[in-house]
Amino acid sequence: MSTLQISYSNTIFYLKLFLFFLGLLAIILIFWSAKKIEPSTEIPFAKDVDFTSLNDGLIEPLYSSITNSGDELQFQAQQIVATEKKDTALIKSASLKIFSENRPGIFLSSEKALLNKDEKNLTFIDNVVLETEDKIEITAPKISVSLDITLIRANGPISGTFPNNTIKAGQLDIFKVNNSSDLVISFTKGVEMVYNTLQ
Amino acid sequence: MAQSQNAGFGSLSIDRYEPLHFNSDSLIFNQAKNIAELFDGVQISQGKSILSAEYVKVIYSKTDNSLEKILAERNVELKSNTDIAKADKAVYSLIENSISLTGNAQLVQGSNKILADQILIDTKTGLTQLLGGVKTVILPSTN
Repeated sequence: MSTLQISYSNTIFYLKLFLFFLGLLAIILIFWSAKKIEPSTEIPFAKDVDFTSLNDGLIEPLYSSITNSGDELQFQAQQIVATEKKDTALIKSASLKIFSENRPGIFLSSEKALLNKDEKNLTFIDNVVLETEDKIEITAPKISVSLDITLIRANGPISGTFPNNTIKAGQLDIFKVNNSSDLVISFTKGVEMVYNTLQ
Repeated sequence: MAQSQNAGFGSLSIDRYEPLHFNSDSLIFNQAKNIAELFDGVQISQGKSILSAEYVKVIYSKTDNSLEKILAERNVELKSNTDIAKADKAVYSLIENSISLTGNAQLVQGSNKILADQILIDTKTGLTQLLGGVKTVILPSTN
């Protein structure tokens, strides 16, 4: 019984080898030429929008960005309108979400907020609430958020709750020492914390 | 090892059901490690008992956020009614229902002191044990 034998010439063998390396080179070139996404230094609207042109307001804006501290910011509002100050815009129904890798997210909301383009910060005013994914809830008359680095500051009176605890303080700072460090939640200027013992 | 037992330490056995009030100049939370650190002029009161120190670390359970342990360091003083204990370090375990004071530990009763390597208080019963190198210092009356 005869058997079917298929044989390739050396040309075919080298052609297959060439095509394999060509494909590999193409993949390397695709990854190498991919545009690197640089973290922006501020939420895009802070530099892109001319506040003086917002007389009629910007309806339901939605932006997201990455801070220099490596955290993701997601901003949402009902409306952004111009104010008398050139570099400041008034934001109605503002909410900001901050996501750090492998850490509980932070959610900020208020009825009003002021965006200062020069100082690169967003100040939440009127019914300000700060919540974290791990059930910390903090209220303060005013909470300021830096848009270029991860920094949240609230000046007293601060009051907050978290599982089994209540806390009051004169000042709150949330920040990262460096990009890979844990998020630090610091209460200062007279701290009073109450822990309810489990019966 | 030398050992001595005293009657209940102040009102600790009753106070253990009361809420814990923490006061300090500053407090830092580390969510990842489930701890809170209190700095400068730290005072923790529970009923009529007060623990004061310069630094306190509070350790929470990772499962239900309940308070498991309080570690106090530097100029530690535990006061409950008229009983006072002083030491360099204290560990208040809410799981083991105990307070352990170590490092220059001393129990102060009026003008008298009892020195020991460790003062161990059972917060359920208030029973106080003085362990290791127990030495009583009785100051002579000035009258």
